[in-house]
Amino acid sequence: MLDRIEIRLFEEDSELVTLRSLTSEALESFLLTMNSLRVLSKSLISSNNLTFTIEEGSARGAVLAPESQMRVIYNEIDLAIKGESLDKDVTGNLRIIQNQLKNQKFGYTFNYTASGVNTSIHERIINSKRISITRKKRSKYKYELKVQSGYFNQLGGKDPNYHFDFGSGDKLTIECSIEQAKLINSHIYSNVSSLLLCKKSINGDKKDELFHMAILKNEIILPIKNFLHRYNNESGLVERLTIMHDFVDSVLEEKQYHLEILKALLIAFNDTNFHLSEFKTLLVISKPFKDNQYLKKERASLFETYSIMKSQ
Amino acid sequence: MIEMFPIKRTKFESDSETDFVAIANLHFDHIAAHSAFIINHKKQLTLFHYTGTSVEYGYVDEDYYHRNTDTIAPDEVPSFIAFCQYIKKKAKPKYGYFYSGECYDSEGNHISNSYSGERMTCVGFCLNVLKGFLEEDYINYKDWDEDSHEDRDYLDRYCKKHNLNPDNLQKSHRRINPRECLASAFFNNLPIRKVSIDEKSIFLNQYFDNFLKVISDDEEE
Repeated sequence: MLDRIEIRLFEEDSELVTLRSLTSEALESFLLTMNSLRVLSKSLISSNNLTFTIEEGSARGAVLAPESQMRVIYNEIDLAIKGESLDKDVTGNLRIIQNQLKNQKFGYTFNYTASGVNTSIHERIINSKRISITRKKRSKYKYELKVQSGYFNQLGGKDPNYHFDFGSGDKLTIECSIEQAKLINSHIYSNVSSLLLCKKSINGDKKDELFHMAILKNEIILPIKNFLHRYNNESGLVERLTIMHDFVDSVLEEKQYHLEILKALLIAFNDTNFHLSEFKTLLVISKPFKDNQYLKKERASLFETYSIMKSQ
Repeated sequence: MIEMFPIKRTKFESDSETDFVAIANLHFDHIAAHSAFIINHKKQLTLFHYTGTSVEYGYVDEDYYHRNTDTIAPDEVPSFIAFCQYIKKKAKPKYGYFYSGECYDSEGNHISNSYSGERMTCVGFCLNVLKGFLEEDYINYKDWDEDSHEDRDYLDRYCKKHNLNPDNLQKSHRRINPRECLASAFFNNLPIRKVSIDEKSIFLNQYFDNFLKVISDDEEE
């Protein structure tokens, strides 16, 4: 047996409603709800799995689908009633249904029937706030790059990390991938400077989490440190990108370690927590080096991240 | 499908809610005479263009008509602005009807292997900026040949005046007009071919013939 979500219009101005004789207003209201239920369902699952029915017995309309499919629709409706839906098609159509159900002129029921068991959605939907799409929650974290130097004396773990040891039990733990761990390993028991992505809690209630991006050659530590200091202290995005343009410009003019610096930036900014414009500016800046053997791979990888983020 | 409003009158009809980059035309006597970028960021409209003597970034001071380009996503507009400001700092184009697919590199320097160097029109400037910003070539510039220039003696006169050798400039001597530049904004499948642009240019010329006539009638009343 198919599960169903049913909307029933049973009275108008306290008079019973029958499909055989509807007022213009009742027909309009009923059709609005049915059409919204249709569009909402169709936006979530394939039309092949959906059947619709309109029946006598007041004015009854329903969408029918196999259990697993109907569960998808019900869960989405549930989320929207809770005010947690991110789906415009669901919230928009459910709001139309909500408006009709709340209209004092009409008496409606709104039910979900799974394996013969009835659940009323009616009370919840008329008592809930105006249904609307929820904006994505503001991130509780901010991400920024930083250079950290230290004595590197430990590496390991299934989810690998490494340690900088500052003596007297003062340590810093940095997370990395297995691939990165293999590369970093050659630097163990020495002082190194790493370029890290720092995940900072905005209200400061959690410790910073650190992720390894690259180990920096001595010659490029200072210029990158200075650049990041200016970059991180600027809050405007356009202004930050201008700082990036200016920095790379000066580096290219000096022509000392310019490829190393560019490579470090291409690696460091290759993380989905950065803004599309940050990827784009780096891609524009590094475009003349598209086919440069030393930078090719890192640039192509950044381009891939950019393309994925752009298509989202 | 026919679009209701394919072109926006910049000062009156811009959608300020969404960030965008658009290509715009300015008309003199109903003819598209100038090309520029219109940029909307944080509800502020900016004009970015080459006037023939200098690169300008500032207020929209005249009656432009524009079309947004889908080649640049709203989230990429900050990056485009930073690029424009960089070009303004660095570029020094000279006026001339040449376009050989040059572009500005990341430092606002004009990359060109051709002899024509940094000689261009307002259109060449727009095309160069886009070529520099986008990963792929913006237009298939080779589709435009010397015949695209209405004034055949232009090359000779230009070279005489600037003491250049016409043989060296021959290859990049093309005129892509402001209307074609605006027409390119309808496409985002790169590089854009001349056949697509030609078709759209005809449509735009008709559109503006009707539209600008109505406006000038209004103004005369």
